[in-house]
Amino acid sequence: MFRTKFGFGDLIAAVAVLFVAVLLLWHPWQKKDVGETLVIVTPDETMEYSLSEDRTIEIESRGVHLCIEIADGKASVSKSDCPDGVCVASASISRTGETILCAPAGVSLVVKGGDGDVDFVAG
Amino acid sequence: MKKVILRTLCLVLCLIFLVPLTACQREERQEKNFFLMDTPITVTLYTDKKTAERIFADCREILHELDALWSRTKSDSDIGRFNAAENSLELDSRTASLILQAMDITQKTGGVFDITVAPIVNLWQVSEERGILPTTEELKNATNLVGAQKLTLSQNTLTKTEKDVQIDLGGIGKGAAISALISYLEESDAHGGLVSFGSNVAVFGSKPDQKPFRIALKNPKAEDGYAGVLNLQAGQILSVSGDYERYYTINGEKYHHILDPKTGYPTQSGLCSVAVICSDGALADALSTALFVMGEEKAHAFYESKIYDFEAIFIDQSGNVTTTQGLADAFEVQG
Repeated sequence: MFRTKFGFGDLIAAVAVLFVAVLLLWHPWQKKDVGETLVIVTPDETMEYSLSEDRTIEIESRGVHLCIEIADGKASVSKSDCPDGVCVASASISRTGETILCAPAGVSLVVKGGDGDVDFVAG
Repeated sequence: MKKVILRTLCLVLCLIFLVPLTACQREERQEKNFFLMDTPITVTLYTDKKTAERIFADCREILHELDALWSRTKSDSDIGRFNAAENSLELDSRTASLILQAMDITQKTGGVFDITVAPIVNLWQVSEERGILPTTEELKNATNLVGAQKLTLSQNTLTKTEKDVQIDLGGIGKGAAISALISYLEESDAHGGLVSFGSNVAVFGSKPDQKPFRIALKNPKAEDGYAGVLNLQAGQILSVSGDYERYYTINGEKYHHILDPKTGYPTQSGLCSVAVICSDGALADALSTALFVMGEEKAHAFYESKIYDFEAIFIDQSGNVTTTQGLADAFEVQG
């Protein structure tokens, strides 16, 4: 015969199952490709910004003026007066390990944090 | 009694799922970014903060020392002094041994990698400054100064056939430096980590969770930006040469920086990027340039010749990705 009454033990079991479910949805099982921090490395300093907060960052390096945008969890170089403009043409970055390099300015943007599968993006 | 068993089971279940969480928090991942050798560098270590700070300082010291020896733009470096010298110069043993290796690679790759390419690099830099393309005559004069036969290395003394012969370690120095760093880090107190020099990446030891180091390769021609992902093993170094990040800009036109030592022009081999994986950083760095200049067909033939032990990944101008045989299973091509 099956028992139909919902007892105290069943309640504990239900809470435990719920707790486990929450854990499973939580770090570290829930992998995210998306990084948490944008690290900007220049010849003079290293700066870190959260990718979750939209902002504009202005940088002067080696006589080059760079305008870096963080919006919707992605970072990009929106303006640069460097001669080749490669950094502006680069796609925005958001995944852990992705980079943008502005060689004339000697500035690199790297996405860090998050718990994606990739440690570094080379190239 | 049943209730007690049920409660105990619940508690055990909770503990089972909590343990990995706490273990995860114990992982001590330390990271330092700095800018040296005209390149952004990242050193990632798995160790405690205090040890990491000491190791980061040592890494900076090692790189400063090598940059002071190998920089082409520093007049008091070995390279700066040799380029300015009339005839010959006694070098630091580390410079001499790197030049010896470079000369060997030049000879084995048929001259597609050559450190005497400096006069051509200078010409393109001057052309960018004056905003006029180098003339055929200028390129001919510059390429006439290129060739490993113009150098002789005896003990640590490097001699050139004429004053205007100059060298540039840009295609091999960063690879050698990453190898030097990894050699130091392997002996350090860090359990493992990763070093990146922009286009050169190396790992040592292991992560606390024993998972492999996963390195994605950029594909500038692909929509999602990745060519694929590779598990880089401790002791392996990956070096990438591509035509999409560094340029000479003349009259608004972009000319990429991988110059063919024979023609003096930016290489048009049909390739967009070459990644080389091997156990020696200098070799990986030099070979990625050499294979790029060779083009895919000749590069595959060079691989088959087994002159060097390496693997490679090629991305052509259409974004197609191919690998050498040894990476057929290890490299997970995306898209």
